[in-house]
Amino acid sequence: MELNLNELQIDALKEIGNIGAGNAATALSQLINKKVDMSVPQLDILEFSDMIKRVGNEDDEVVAVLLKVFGDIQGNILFLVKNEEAQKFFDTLMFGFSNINEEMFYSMFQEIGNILGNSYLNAVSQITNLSLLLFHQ
Amino acid sequence: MARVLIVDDAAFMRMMLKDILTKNGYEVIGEAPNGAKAVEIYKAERPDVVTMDITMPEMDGIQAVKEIKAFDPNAKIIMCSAMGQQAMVMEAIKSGARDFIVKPLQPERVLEALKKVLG
Repeated sequence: MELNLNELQIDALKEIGNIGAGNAATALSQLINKKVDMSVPQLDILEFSDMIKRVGNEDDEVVAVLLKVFGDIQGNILFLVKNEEAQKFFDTLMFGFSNINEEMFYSMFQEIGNILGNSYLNAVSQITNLSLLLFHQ
Repeated sequence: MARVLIVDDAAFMRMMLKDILTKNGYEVIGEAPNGAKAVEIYKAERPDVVTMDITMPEMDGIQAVKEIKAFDPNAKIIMCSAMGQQAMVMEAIKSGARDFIVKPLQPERVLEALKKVLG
């Protein structure tokens, strides 16, 4: 894909990503009641098919929540966690609850994806003045 | 003991909210997974307060607030949504919601909002 961005534009996109992710990390920390660290976001312009290689191993089994962004900008947010990490989320958030079924497992990850995606977009929307909405299937 | 109706399409969120409320002396009289069901339960049960999500199938939370307020202008509704963008908060308040809590839910914030609208 031909997308010519200058240094300043790349820097701006990184900073927008950084603010969005920072807000999402804060939300995650409140959700699980634990400290959450994050690395500096990396910006890549690449083929869609190369994305998998960029984020992990093709053979890893993961829990994935896909959120559609609509409004002033259309796009996708994908929340990915490896299965063993997903289990940790579940154990942390479901601690003390009994009768937890598979439906609750799905519901929990949909809601985590929803909250993180929205907190990301809330921050991005605030600094860009764009109206951004989420739709999760 | 105040009677609360919980409205959220995520079963997980309803469970968490119910846990916070019942542990703090509130009675959860019903749970609705969408706005249409929320309006129906409100009319039948007349709860003291409603916690209302926004993005839901069938009927969203904003529309549900409008319909509940049309039925009972004194209805006390607290929005609980991950969508904290200002335009959405304003629309909810304009529609008649008394407060707006952005998810993730902090138990203290939820209890404070309930106390305020019921006080």
